[in-house]
Order: sequence, then C-alpha cells, then structure tokens
Amino acid sequence: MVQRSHVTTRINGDEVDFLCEPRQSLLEVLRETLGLTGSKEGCNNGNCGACNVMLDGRIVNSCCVLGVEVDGHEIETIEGLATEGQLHPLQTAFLEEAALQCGICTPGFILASKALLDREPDADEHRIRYWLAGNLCRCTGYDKIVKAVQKAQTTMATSRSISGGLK
Amino acid sequence: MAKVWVPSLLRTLCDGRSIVEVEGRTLRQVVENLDAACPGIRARLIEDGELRPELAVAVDGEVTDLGLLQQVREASEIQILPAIGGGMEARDG
Amino acid sequence: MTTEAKRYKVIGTRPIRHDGVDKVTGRAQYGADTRLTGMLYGRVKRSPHAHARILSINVEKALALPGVKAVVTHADFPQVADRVQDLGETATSIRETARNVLAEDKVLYRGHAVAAVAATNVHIALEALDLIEIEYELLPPVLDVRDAMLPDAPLLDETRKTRSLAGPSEQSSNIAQHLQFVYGDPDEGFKQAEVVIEREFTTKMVHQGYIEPQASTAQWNADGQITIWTSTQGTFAVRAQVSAVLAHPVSKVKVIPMEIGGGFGGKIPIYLDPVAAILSQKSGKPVKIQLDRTEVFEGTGPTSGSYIKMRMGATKDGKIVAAESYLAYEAGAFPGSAIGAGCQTHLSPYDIPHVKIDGFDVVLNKPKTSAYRAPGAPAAAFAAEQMVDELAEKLNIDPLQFRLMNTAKEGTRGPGGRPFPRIGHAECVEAALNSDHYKSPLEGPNKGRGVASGFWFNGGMKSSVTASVNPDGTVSLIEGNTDIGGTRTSLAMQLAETLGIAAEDVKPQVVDTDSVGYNDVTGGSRITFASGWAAYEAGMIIREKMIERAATIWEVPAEQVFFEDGMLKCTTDQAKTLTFKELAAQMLRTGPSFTGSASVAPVGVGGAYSTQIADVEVDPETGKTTILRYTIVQDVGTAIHPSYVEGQMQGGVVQGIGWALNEEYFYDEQGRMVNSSFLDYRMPTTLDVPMIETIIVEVPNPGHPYGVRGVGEVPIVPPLAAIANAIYRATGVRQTQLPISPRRILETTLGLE
Repeated sequence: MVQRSHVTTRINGDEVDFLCEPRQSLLEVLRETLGLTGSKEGCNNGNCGACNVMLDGRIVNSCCVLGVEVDGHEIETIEGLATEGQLHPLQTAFLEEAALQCGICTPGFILASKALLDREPDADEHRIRYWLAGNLCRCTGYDKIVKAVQKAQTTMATSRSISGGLK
Repeated sequence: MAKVWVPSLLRTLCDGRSIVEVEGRTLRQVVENLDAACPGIRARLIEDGELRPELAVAVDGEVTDLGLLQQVREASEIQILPAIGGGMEARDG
Repeated sequence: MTTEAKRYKVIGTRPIRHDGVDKVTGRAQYGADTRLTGMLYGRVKRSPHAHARILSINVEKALALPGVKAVVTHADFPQVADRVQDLGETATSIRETARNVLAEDKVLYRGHAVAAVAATNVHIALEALDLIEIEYELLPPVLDVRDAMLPDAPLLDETRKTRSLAGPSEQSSNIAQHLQFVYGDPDEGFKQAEVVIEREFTTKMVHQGYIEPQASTAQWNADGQITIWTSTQGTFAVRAQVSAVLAHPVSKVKVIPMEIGGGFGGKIPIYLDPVAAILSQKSGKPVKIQLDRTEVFEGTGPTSGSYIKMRMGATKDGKIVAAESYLAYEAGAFPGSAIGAGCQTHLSPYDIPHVKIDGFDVVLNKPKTSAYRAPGAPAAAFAAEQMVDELAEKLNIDPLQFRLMNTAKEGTRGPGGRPFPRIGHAECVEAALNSDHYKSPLEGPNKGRGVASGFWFNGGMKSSVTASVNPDGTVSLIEGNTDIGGTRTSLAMQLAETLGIAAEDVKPQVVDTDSVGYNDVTGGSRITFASGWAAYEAGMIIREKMIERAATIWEVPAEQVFFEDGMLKCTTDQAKTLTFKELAAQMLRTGPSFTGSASVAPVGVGGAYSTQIADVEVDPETGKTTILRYTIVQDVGTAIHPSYVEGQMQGGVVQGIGWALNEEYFYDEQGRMVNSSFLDYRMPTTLDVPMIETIIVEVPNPGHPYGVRGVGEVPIVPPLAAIANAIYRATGVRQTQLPISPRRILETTLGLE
C-alpha cells in the first residue's frame, strides 16, 4: 500500500484533516476523499479553471496543487462562498444575468471573479476579461458572465458604501 | 393521384422522370404502385419489409415517422429524402 | 422584438432558473460526482495506433495487480444482430457502436478503446492499464477524406460497399454512402447564368469542447438489474444502446440522469456505460469511469472535417439561377457523418431553380464522428455563404440585399422537392440591414465586415411529461430531458402560461427512465418545442379536470365553467370564482388529485434562420484576427425565456468563432492528434471575443401552441463564413481552408503557400 501522509488544513473556515497519497492532487482529495464535489475536473492540467479554489486567498487550479502541499494552509471552495444560507453577490448576479447554461464552469468562474473583485473592485471590462481568460466556458460565449461580474461589482460597491468604507 | 418526387439516383428506373403520379391510400400502396411504374424501385426503398433506415419520407410537407403505414390523401405530395439520423425527420431545403 | 410576446403573462419574462441555486453553490451533481458505497474506479486502455489488427490481448498481469477487481474486452460483449439505432440527429448501427466502445478485431483510430479495468482507486487502475499486453499488426492509416475515397486507399472494412439509392457498389470502399439531389435542370441553369464562380473548400475535424468529460457509473445487481448514473443528452438513448449492446432487456436497465456539463451532440452516443456495466458485473461492485481530457479528444466523437467543391451562377440582375455542390465528409472510423444535413441545409436560405448536390460519407482512421450543434451544416455553410458573398461582390450588390433578393420563403422548394412552411430568413436579413451594427461605418486599414446566413431544420421527435397539482397551488412537472441550457425553466414557463400561474410555482424535475414516459434526446433544438408542447398538453388536461371539479363544487354543469388567467369562473354567476390556489387547496377534500400526462410526437416543426455580421481587424504582421464587433440576428419563433435564448445565440456564435479561427485536430502522419489538450486545442477565452450583440426576431411558428422554433443550433451555422467574408474584405484574400489561423493568413497574404 502506498504510504499516505496526514494533512491538516482549514477548508471554508473549518479545520479538516485527511490522509492522502503523494500522487493525489488537491482536486482529487477535495472531490473523492472529502466529498466536496463543487470543484470540477475539466482537463486536469491547469488549462480550464473548472477546479479553481482559493489557497491562502490566492486563486489556484487545484488540479495543479498536491494534496500534501496544503498542510497548514487555508482553502476556500465554492461550497464555502454562501454564508449562513445567503448567496454571495456574485452568485446572485450569475443567476440574475443568466450567466450559466450547463453550469459546469460556474464554480470556477465565481471563485475567479471573487479573487479579482477582492483585489480590484473597479476592474473594467478588459481587466475582467483578462483575469478570467484562465477559465473556459463553452456554453455562454462569455457575454453574460462578464455582465454578471459587472453587476456584482455594482452590488458590492453599494454595500461597501452602506457599511461605510473598505471591507 | 399522389405525386411522388423521384430522387435523382432512381430516375433511370422511371425513364428519367422526376415526378411520377400513382394511386395509393398508404405509403406501402404508393411504393407498390410506384414499382409497377418503375420496375425495381421497391427494392431500393424497402429493406426487410420496411423503409430503409437511411430514408425519410415527407407527405404533404411533413416528414412521417409512421413509415409505410403513413396514410396518403388523394392529391398528396411525397418526397423521399435522406434521413437526418436513423429516421428522424429530414428537413428539406 | 415584435409585439407577439406581449400577449403572454409568463412567456417572454426572465425568471431565475429553477436549478440555478444548486449550480452556483456547487451542490448540483454532475456525472463525475456520483459516489456509491464500495465504488470502484475504471480506466480505459486505448490504441496508440491509427490502424492495426489486434493479434492478442493478455490481461493476466493487470488482473494480478493488488487493487484490480475486473478487466473487460470486446470478447465480454454478446454477439448481437445488427440494426440501426436512431440517436436523433445521427444514427449508429449497434454492432458498430459495440466495436467503437471496445475494439473487436481491428483498431481504427488512435484512442480507440481496447480494454478497461476497475480498481479500488484511479491510480491503481492507471497502473493496471500499463500491464495489459496487446499485440498489434500495424496497417497503413488513411487520414484525408479525398485519399480515403481513392480506389486503392487502405480499407477500414473490407466488406463495406457504398450504399446509395442507385444500389450498392461492386467494389469495397471507404465511401459508406453516396447521396444525390437534382432539382430542375442544372445544365440549363448554368447556361442562363451570366456570372459563374467555382471554388474548393476544406474544413478540419473539430470537437464540441464541452468542459465536462464523459463520466458514467454502473451497478449490475445480482438480480440482473443494471443501474447507470451518467451525464448524457438522452437517458432513453443510453438505455436503448446499452440494452442493445449487452443484449439485456430494456426493462432491466435504468438510467439516472446526472446534471450534464455541456454536450452539443457529443454526449448522445455511449462510450463508457456498457464497459462500466460489465466491470460491475464481474466485480460485484459499482464502477465509475471518467474520461480525462486527452481521452475526450481522442476517444469520443468530434465532428467531420470536409472537402467541398461548389459552382454557382447568377444573372447580372442578381438572381442566383444554378448551384452545384460536391461534399465529402469524414465519418471517422465508422459510417454516420451528418452529410445528409450538410447537403440539405447549405442552400436553404435561397430560392434556386436549378440545383445538383452530391454528398459522400467517408470512413477513415479518425475517431467516429458524432453530432456537433447543427451537425453537417456549418462546414457546408462555410462554402455556400462565401460563394454567395463572391457572387454579390462580382455583381456589385450589397451582400445582405443580394440574400434578400434571393431569399427562400414559404412554399420555396429545396433540392429534394419539399416545400418550406412559414420561415423567417427574409425577416432576419431585414433586421440585419436595419441594425445599428450594419449602419455603423467600419473604417481603417486591415479591417473588414462580413455577413452570412444559415439554416437549421430543428427536430420534433418524442417527449413525455407528467404534471401534478400540489395542495398549495404549485405544480410538479416531471420530465425526462436533461437540462443543458435552461430547459427545466422553459418547460416550466410554458406550463405556467397554460395554467395561468407564476413560473416560480412550477417545480420541474428531470427524472430517470423508470419514472417518466419515453423521451428522445436533448438535442435537435427540440426540447422547448416538443417537451414544451407536452407540458402544454398536460396543462390542458389539468385545466379540464379543474373545470369539472369547480363545477362539482359549485353544483353547476361543467359547460358553465371556464378557465381564464389562472382562475375558474362561471358563465351564469359572476360571483362564483376560484383562484388556482383556492381550488388546489380544496382538491384532496373533493376528489382525486389533478394530474395530467402527455406523450407527444409533434409535427409542425419550424426551421430556424440566422443572419450574422462580423467586423474584424487582421494584423498584417502576425496574421492574428481580432473580432471587433459581432451581431447575431435569429428568428426564434417565440422567445420563451429571452435570456436563455440570447445565451444560445451567443454561445453558438463563439463556438463558430473558435471553429473559424483556431480549432482543429492537428494530425501527424501516423494519425496521432498532437494537440489533444486545452492548451493547444485552442478554444475561445474571454479575451478572444467581444460582447455578442443579439437581435431576436420573432416569426411565430404556426405549428406550435406558443409559436416556438428551436433556437439552440442555428447560431453556429453562419459564423465560419461571416468571419471568412470579413477577413476577405480586410485582407483581399479569400480563405477557403479552415481554420483561418494566423499561420494560414500569413501563408496566403504573403504568398508563402
């Protein structure tokens, strides 16, 4: 039997530990060991973004991260985005703008968009397209995805000004 | 009499005609009567007693999924077309 | 938009889709998300050779690897009699399906599946594949459609003769089928023409590019019941194919649809289900098989590359009088390209009195092709719409005006003689002419504007639904079509419209093959049309039952009760009214529940047209084409949910952009696809396309209760030619080969060919 490592990490705010083989990717661990199937496998080599998660606040392709690498680190997946049953403005915007058709790329796009808006809340259309070029969608042609991100920008800016300043 | 548009590859069996008029209340009867007018045509259209799977037939503008059972009116127009899929309606044009 | 949509209450609005929250929170379960107790993981061993005889397969070492529980090859399939299985827009023969799923005596393409293993984890399964020993006798591959048609070409199947209405050929051939249409008198027609042009075109094999790889899980119980969880476009198609390949009764195969991450026609054929089923039978455990991306490219069905030659003639005053087309399509390893559709759609925008078309379905050593969104039509339109463009230019007529002058309309006959019903090409062209895009000048060097039209038949086929009223006045809608683009909602909206209730009060569910009547595939742009029709009929049945029940409650004859705007009313007493919810609340106290089921095979399918405008800029030094602006006009009949209609339009256009500019199966001489990853098989990203402007034209389909025309497929038909026509105007060079990559542009503009 292949030797497995014990990994301790924080996922979506909760402390989680698991055993994994050195050859298992973080994507495989999330999906097969932990049952967090919201992150998807599209290509398994970092070209489609369907497996996007946040690692210590940075957006990464979890298919290109090893399970053993995340020991002691923090992970956010799509499952952790809505808080206490309330959808994140990006999730709401994707629904209102009809920015998904089959939905397989949607978790990756939402997390990648969040990573952008957390850093650059006023990103313009070109910047949005540039940032999201690592996420492939085959259904929508991207039009409504970009519009959903722009709509979320407005919502998030409004709630920032209501709550009086930077988040 | 129903008006049958004869596919180009079958016209040699019909003395070169592209339209042949025959009697028939069902497609099966039409094909039988067509075979009388164009000997040998039945074998090209029918396999194991049914319309060949690569063919679709339009009667009065609608492709039928009833095959040879499809009813035919007095002055129906009939076109024989390649099936899109194994029998799905073939839309002409 | 026309004012048609305003007479509806729900149709034409934009409710949140019913499965939306699950899909934005990661809760929706797709094919690869299935997890069952004791589940094993399967992987498939594939041929490295494009053409070879299988001499022997030895699985002993693989079986001996700890963790491996079962191995399967074609020898485990029963011998089945051959017959044709209808897949909707394509077809397959069952014997050929079985041989494609696992190779029998020959491998016919690199990536052809030969064996599979099931193990306790996917890594052990992968190790086990390397321990399977296969001896091959290499054969020369044939990789070009014209080469495959030559009399001395290597034959994929020595027994295959060409099928045509003229009778089977004498010689064996890679040409599986020959079609021909002759309408009018083409020789005479060309004599009348004052301008005649002739050109050859080639297109490459491309993949549908769905982001979700195929995944199936199968459990073969000791009682012979097979259960399959899969992402598929057609649960009943899977059931029929699995039952046929395994010679297992249909009643003992249950297919449970998972959510599906894109299909576009590529998830109609089966690849994994029978393999997983037999692995499950042998191991006694459920088995999940998921393809990786390389396997998706090399082992599933892309769409045909083609060779097309066309001749077209017009009179000086702008009438197209004659057209002649020769189209040869790659079928891949087994017959069944969409050559019939290619032949029958490429001239559909026009009324041409003299036409001759020859079409050929040709096998060669590439993966067996599958449907890809309007299968067969885009490649043929790439040729036809450039011919039309060139004629317009030579006649000095605006290319959109030229299309309008020659437009097909109701009653126009196609090459097989069948007349069109009410269609909307003229309306699309007029809307394009009047669009802001077309009226805006395009200035500057290296820029060009191109237009193109396209047509798709759309399908009707068969659908079944059941609707039940709940005591709180909501309605459950049970349907059997997997939801790739929002059809749960378009069906719910049509039922809601019929019953006079809100879309949010309908709960649509997609269920398995044991739980609903027969449904043909999600494909053919048919679900909103046909399943929507079934929902309408089920709704009408419920209305009748509610009328009778209200009559009972009011103690009046049923003839005095009518249904209007979601209310029950009485002709003889205005005070007697019940809302839908009020009657539902009394439903179970006053009789049985209100349920309506409908199974339909509707006729009156409306074909769809699209006209598109592309503005491009071509960099003369790098050959890179930038899409500056893009507009799609499309006749949708009635837009049930405009946002999802727009989504279909935009998505199809962007697939067309990728197909036109970058995508191709790039083969080496041994028949290996060298770009089988998303890095090198270059699909459009957010940076490659602008916003796609949509203009919805509504010419309601008289054949449907809500005027629906299918919308999903026609958007991909015009872009190849619209972009080629634009690039011609930007560079002065006509592009007759796809893809129009930067390399190709530089080769042709700098004379490097």
